[in-house]
Amino acid sequence: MDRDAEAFVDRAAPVLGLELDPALRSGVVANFAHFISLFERIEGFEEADSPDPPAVYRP
Amino acid sequence: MTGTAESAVREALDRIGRENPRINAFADVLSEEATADARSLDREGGPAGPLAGRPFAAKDLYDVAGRPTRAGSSIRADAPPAAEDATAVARLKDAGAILVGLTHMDEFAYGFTGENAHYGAVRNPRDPDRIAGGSSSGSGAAVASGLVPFALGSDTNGSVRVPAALCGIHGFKPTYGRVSRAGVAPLAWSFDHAGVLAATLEDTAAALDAIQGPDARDPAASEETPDPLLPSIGAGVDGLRIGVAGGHFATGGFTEVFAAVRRAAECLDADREVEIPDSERAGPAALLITSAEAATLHFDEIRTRDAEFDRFTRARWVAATMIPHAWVARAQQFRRRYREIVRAAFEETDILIAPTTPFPPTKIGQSQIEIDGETLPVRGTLGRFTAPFSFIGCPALSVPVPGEGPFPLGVQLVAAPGRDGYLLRAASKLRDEGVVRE
Repeated sequence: MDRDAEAFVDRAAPVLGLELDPALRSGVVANFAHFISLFERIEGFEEADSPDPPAVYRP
Repeated sequence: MTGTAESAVREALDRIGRENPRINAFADVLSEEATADARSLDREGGPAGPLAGRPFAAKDLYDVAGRPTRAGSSIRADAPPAAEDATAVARLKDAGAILVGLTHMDEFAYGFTGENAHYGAVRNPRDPDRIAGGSSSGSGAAVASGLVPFALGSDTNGSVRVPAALCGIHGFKPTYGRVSRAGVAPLAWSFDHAGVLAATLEDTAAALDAIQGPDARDPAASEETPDPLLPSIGAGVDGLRIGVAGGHFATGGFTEVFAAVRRAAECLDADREVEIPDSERAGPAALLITSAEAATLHFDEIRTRDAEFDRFTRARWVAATMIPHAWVARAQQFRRRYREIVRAAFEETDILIAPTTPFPPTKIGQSQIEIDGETLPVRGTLGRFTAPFSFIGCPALSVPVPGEGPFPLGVQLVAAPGRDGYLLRAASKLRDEGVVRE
């Protein structure tokens, strides 16, 4: 799957209130690309759409 | 206890003074406090038992009353002092053990190598040019070099077991909820565990017995009082069904680590290979959740003081703030599914045997390693075999098995949640048969 880590980081940083040090930017992009690769490894497992049952409160 | 508590503490402090400059295990040595506690114990008497008068260390993310809890960071170096001891520290003191110091770690426990830009790398006692493993690095090195008989660590994805394996000692991550995390700086709240690193199984069990049990200060702590673990040592393995974890757990490591697993399996008459489907997804899912939870906890510091983070991991912290919630939710869905898969495996088997780490300790500063012709990151690969079991709360014990080279190798024993005692039964047989060396 083609996900653009660089574009995502550049757009997400200001939304999150992060001022990216230019010297750090490539490292952040590389790490985010790694997170993309982690997500791609868990996509597609069976029952991916199973609901998350809420806690049941009893008096 | 033979001798006085004061003499035991004095000897420990002398050893730390001699050896710590070589291995950089201790962040703080509490000479005055420990000596005073020991004198008080000798003067007034105190609890009898296996921990009375024994020195111990705690990873520098356990609260100690009156001291800032740095968690390996510089940002927290000037934090307000803790108001009270972490529950585990307090319970060990109540059992008569004496805290002699706090140990170095990866910053905020987010790492596996013990290389910390603020405080220097913790060095492996067997070869100071190599890593001690992390993130409970100093606790591992302190025990392995004989400075203290046991130490507290914490384990989110392997941070007790990885340094135990690389330093050649025992490392026990109990069932999630068995030991309170109150007063332990969190990394990822949904699977942080308090744990113990020790030179002997007896000290491992005695320390766990002292710290386990309900605690209103930790909402994840079990409400049931668990059975003591010490009696499990020497109880034998009759009736236990033991298997070797296959698939994911039988690939992606050096040949020698799988040879160590085979030696343990033969000794324990493991009669089956157990394939756990989808295990290759567990590490990635665990790391996504860990990173998202850690970034949530530290979000304000990342946003306002990111330049003060460890330069080795600063970019990862910033990137972790950007992980989309949908990915984390998907990882949590997988986590529930994987828990069911592993639970089913434990209906047929009582103990699984797997490697702890994929390779022995690497050189300090080494960032990559080649396995099966593939170049992989050291930091990202060390937790390959440990993360899947923390992820779902299983108890796991890493024991030291001599290898062909100069370093012992960690072999991991894993059981279903609540079956912590099984691990000590198997480990003590391995020790009795000479497969595990203390």
